[in-house]
Amino acid sequence: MDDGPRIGVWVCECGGNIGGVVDVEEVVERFRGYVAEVSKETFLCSKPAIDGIRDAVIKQGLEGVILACCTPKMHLETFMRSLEEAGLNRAYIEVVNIREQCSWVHMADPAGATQKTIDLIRGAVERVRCSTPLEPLRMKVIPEVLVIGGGVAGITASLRLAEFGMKVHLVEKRPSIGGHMIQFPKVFPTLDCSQCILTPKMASVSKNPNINLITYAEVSEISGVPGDYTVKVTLKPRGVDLEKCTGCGECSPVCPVEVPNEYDESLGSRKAIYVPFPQSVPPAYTVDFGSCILCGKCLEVCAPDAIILDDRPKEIELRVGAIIIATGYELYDPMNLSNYGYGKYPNVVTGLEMERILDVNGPGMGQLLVPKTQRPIKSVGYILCAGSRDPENGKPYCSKVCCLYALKQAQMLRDRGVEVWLHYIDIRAPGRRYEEFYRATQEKGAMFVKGKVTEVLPYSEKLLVRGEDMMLNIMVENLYDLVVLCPPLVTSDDTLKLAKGLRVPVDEDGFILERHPKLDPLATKRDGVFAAGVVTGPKDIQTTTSEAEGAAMKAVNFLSKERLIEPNKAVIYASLCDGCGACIEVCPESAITLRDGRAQINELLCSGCGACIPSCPKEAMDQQGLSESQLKAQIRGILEPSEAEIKIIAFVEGEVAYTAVDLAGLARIGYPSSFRIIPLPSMSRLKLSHILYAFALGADGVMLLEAPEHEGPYGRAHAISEKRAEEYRLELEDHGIDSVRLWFSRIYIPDWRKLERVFKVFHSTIEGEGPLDPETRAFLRNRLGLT
Amino acid sequence: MNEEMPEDLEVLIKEKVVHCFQCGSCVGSCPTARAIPEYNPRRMMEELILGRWREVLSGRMIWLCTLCHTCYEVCPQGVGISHIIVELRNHAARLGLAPPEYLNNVRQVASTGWTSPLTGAVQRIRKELGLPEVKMARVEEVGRLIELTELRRMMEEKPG
Repeated sequence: MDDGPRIGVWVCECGGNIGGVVDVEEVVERFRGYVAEVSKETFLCSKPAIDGIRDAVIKQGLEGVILACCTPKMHLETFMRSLEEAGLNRAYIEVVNIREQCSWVHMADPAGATQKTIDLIRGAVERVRCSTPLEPLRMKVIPEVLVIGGGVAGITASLRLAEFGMKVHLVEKRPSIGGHMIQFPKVFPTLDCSQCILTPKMASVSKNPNINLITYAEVSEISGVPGDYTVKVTLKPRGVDLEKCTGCGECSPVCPVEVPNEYDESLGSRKAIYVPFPQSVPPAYTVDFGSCILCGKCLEVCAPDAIILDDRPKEIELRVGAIIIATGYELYDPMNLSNYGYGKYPNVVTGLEMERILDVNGPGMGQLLVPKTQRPIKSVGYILCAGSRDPENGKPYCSKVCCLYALKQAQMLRDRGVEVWLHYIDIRAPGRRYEEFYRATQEKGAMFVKGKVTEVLPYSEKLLVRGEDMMLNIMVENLYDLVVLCPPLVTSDDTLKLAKGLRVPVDEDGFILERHPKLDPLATKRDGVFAAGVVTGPKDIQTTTSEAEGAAMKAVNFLSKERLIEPNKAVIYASLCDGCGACIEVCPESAITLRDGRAQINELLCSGCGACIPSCPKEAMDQQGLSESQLKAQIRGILEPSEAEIKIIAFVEGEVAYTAVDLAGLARIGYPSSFRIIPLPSMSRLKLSHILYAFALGADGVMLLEAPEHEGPYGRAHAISEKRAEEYRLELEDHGIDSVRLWFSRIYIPDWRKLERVFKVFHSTIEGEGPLDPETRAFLRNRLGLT
Repeated sequence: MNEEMPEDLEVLIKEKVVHCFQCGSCVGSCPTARAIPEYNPRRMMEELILGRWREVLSGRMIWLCTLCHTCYEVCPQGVGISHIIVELRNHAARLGLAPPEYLNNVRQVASTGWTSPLTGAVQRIRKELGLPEVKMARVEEVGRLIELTELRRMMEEKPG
């Protein structure tokens, strides 16, 4: 025995699950004298057994524990917790998977399974002998949240956070919060008044002491790390002192400038000093310096002296721990759809413009009038999918809300006696009470024509809409006073800019990418950055508010305790680094920067994938918890003293591919016992020297089982490894090793059945090649400086 | 017609036609459909998807298209209907399913080089309008083209 840590080995029989195949007695005998303590248990996971290990650790002063049992996915955490309480550091606890990887898959080969068990345990013992203690990084988080976007998503999230007691900074780019929802007169499927339900929430935001409301402002820069971000916010010059303005409204009537009102989608007008709408929050006025002529008339009537005509943009800085992106959407520009005549004919409008036309406080003040011409609207034709479900001319996706809001507007129009025709491809109304809402619209007498409209043409004061009626199989040419286009909701340039600043990836349509579309839809790919509402794709208000509530809770969770950061980070030996920057190029997390001519790792950004380490030409990098010496010791322990005829080291990606291997075990799929598995975060952690080392010490083949690109916690690193494996294959040839001895596959969890074939094919390839010849091994040992 | 589906037609359907989601944009924009109500490219695409390619090839619809390509422009799914119709015509012709009027037209081209006959009336009108006299086309070159494009075989197999 060497001078390393005192190690105890426990081998589990798992009833007969392991003991029925592996000769556990023999295994125990082999390690007697090799380690300080070795024994077997019928069920290692039982409470008495765990307590026994704890006692042994304490009484015998053990410094390392190897547990040979089932997959670490089963009980590793339980073992860890219990042994850490006994004073062991987690770096000195190893679980060796001898059930899923030995007894269950080599039932017909008990001798091979026993030999493999011995080898795997020896690998773990040698690895632990090279371990150094690991301490998770502890980081204090800033218990404050930045919510970007003051629509219904941002409002809901802010209120929920504030209710919990969290400090919130809500940044909105327009002069008032309320978003698009405040533009709608009614919402589906309840037809209740949108402003009536949203206005009280807006007022709560302004009154809540936990919410710092920052309107007419934009996030200009974000730096820092999850848990502690520094955010620069640019306040646009508002021209009005928020503290002083009472919202009395004396200024607006005297202002001589009249410009289109954004709130009315430019169908109405406002003054250069204005509130967007009467219930604006904050209720203060805003000077639009883009159109203000600085005549000063407003100054004369402002009693509280709140107007500042020489106002300048200001920058403020916030420190927050988490961020919620709730920047919503824009409408796809229907000017791109030239056959529908938007922008050419005043009586072609968008669904959003129609919301304003329908509002009793809209530009028509309750009358249904065609914009500009002011003709009364007696008939309306809706064109659904105006640019959605159209990868050729618009967006490929279904915009999800258009069918429903068209139905809503149709009901409102029918209630006022207007003739309504909806031209659709499919009416999509899945959602609570939505199909019923469709029925109600039919009952109110709206007409439905299946067939996409192809053309809108002027016809005296009306419009001629041409399309197919697919049900009747005839051409339709209908005349309407007004045509409403339903273009898709799209992401905005502001969202894209923000995503870029936050380094949050977006999908092909520019929507924020969820961490996982099914299982983690409110988190982005960045820790501490969450998203709610249409920023992640078109959706209705119900879903948006649910997401906002969820995102708020996720932020609370994230900030509720100090962050423990896994100590699995890459490290750089500064004295060896020459600042070449190769690692910076490779790092999928952008966690490495050059400082004073040397690479420096941001431990909070580093994911621990290990992809940078092989890229360093100076061998100046290593990884905590998976050091070069640990990895080599494990390879050596597994291979060198082994008596197996053919030995194959299989490096397996630790989450996805490893689980597939476990599933193959669970299904008792049989494969040759020549494979010895070493899990890695990603195959990109592997250097050529690791593979050469394995061959030098007895491997006859090396297999790399990688997860698919972008799957698992180190998904981005998996993109790199395949190309590297290709290069390694060429290098092997240069070292006199046939490249067929290196195998690379990507394994997806449902692919576990395929593993049987993968293992068998590679084994028979290596069997056919025969063991690597001793001269090559000797040459490699010499090259690698091994004795 | 008992033939198996030609392979390139199968590829065309699998790669292009299957994306048709029956929105009716093609019919709505089609000048032929406006004049001939039973002409319906959307239904043709649906028949192809549902395996009724024999019916489509032996029917008269594919020959009614004027190849104005408006459907090609408006289709949101990029099906490329007018191009598909050209392919369908080629397949139909190879299988001897081209209508006699069409073959007569080919014969006309083969013998004169023109799609419409040079009648006395045409020559008279040209003269009145002061247009130059029409020179004869190089019929042997046209004939060569007809050989290369398999039109000759088609005409011989199914005399109109």
